[in-house]
Amino acid sequence: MVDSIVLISLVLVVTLRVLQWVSHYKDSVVDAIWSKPGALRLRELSKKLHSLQTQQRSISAQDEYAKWTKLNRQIAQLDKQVKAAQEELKQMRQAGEKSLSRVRLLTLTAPLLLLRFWKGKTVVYSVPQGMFPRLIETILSQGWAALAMAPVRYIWAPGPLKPLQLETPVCLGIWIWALTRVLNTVEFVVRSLVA
Amino acid sequence: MDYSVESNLHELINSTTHKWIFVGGKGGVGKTTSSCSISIQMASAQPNKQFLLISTDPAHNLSDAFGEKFGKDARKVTGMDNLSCMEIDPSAALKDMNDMAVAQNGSGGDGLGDLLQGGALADITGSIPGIDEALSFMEVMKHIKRQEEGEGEKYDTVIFDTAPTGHTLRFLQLPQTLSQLLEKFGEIAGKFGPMLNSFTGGAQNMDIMGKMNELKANVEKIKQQFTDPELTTFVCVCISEFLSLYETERLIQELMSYDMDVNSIIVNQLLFADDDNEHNCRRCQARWKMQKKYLDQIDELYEDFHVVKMPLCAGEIRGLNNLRMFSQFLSTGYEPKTDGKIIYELEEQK
Repeated sequence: MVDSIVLISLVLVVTLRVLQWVSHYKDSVVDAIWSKPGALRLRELSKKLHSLQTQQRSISAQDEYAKWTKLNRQIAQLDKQVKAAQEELKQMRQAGEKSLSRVRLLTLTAPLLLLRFWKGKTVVYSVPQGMFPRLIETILSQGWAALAMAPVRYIWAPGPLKPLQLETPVCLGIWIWALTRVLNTVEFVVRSLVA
Repeated sequence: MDYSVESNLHELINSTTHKWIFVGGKGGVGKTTSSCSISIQMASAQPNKQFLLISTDPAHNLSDAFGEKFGKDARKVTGMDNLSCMEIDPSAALKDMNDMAVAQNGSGGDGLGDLLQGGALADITGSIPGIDEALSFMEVMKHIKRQEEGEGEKYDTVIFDTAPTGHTLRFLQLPQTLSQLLEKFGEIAGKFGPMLNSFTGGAQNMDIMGKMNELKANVEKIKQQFTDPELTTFVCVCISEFLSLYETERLIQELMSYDMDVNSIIVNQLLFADDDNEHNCRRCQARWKMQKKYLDQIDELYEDFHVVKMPLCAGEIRGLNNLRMFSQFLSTGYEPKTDGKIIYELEEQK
């Protein structure tokens, strides 16, 4: 049970991170699902425009003025159509991205958040007691909320704390946080080396 | 059945519906000569109507073309009963506005009145780019208003001798631009109207909303008239050279985007060297060869336009007599074989 929870959390975190890294494929995904007709039309118009421009460049404006001007008119017309198609595609993409964000929210972000709140205190593994300062061990076992609740506990339940266990459990919430931070650091190092 | 368009302006010259005729093109192609010619032909063909030729080019040439002085007030051309000319003078119009503003503000003591004294308003606004186009447009609006109210001289057709292409396009964009501006201003004034009225304050207390609505209605009227092919048309003037033709093409496309009717092109300064056995130097032959090349292209490109081909004369086309002689070919078309002698028959103007 604990293993499956940890596995699910791992999958959700990694999937979210991978989606973030490959965001340049987002347009292709959005185009493929939501705006395929628009993207195809734009590609077709751009191809046609390029062909006309090549044709125009190959003739002399002064020697074949009429032909050149007729091509110019077609190019001006196509230019307008291309701009309109680009605008249409942009709107389709925006709508698609919005839907994609909603899907991502429902299938990845929301479940991860739910898991953190619902099973946040599930113990992933334990570290020997005394390895970290008591405050850190409290946070490791009970999450960041323990830090926020410390002053309240001091007022409501003063006096010595209950004896600690032999091992300090690391809760799921802290584990997810640590995993995210590790991935951030790795990403930063790789970017710094590549850039 | 092949439908071929006549290569003359006979239909336009005898038109009874057109109220606004614009004549425009690149600089130095013969716009003034063409606009004067069209006006003279129309006035001669329809003697019962009144025609007004207005120059909207800040570098006016109407006075030079007719050999007599015209000003900001319309004046009949000497020798013609139904053709008047006017040269819009932006500085004079601004001075009038300035004087009016001074009179309305009263004399002395008032800060705004002091500012306007000595033609300050005219000086400030006179150098704004586009002011010439704006004032020409105001003149058009005044003319429409006068016609509706039955005031002053009534003209059946107004012919515009326009400034070179860029300025004219700006002028023609004004109805659309003003319309959009007034729309926006209307929205703001609707919310802050009373506050705006209080800014003008004092004895004037102008009704801004009222004046704006009036202006908006006038602008809409002009827009409608300018886009009605029965009422308004644009005659493009060019010469048979690449730069001029390219600019003409751009002008035509731009006019079409404004929904303005354009179906006539005058090609000026043609040499017709093939038909001139007497005077036919090598240079003329070379130039005519080049002109012919472009003429063929024009015929192909503008097959549904009235393309009028006019000759380059030996003398200047100035003065009413010369303009009359020259302008007849706009109506009948120029045949180099039969009409060639006209080139050397123009009187020399003193």
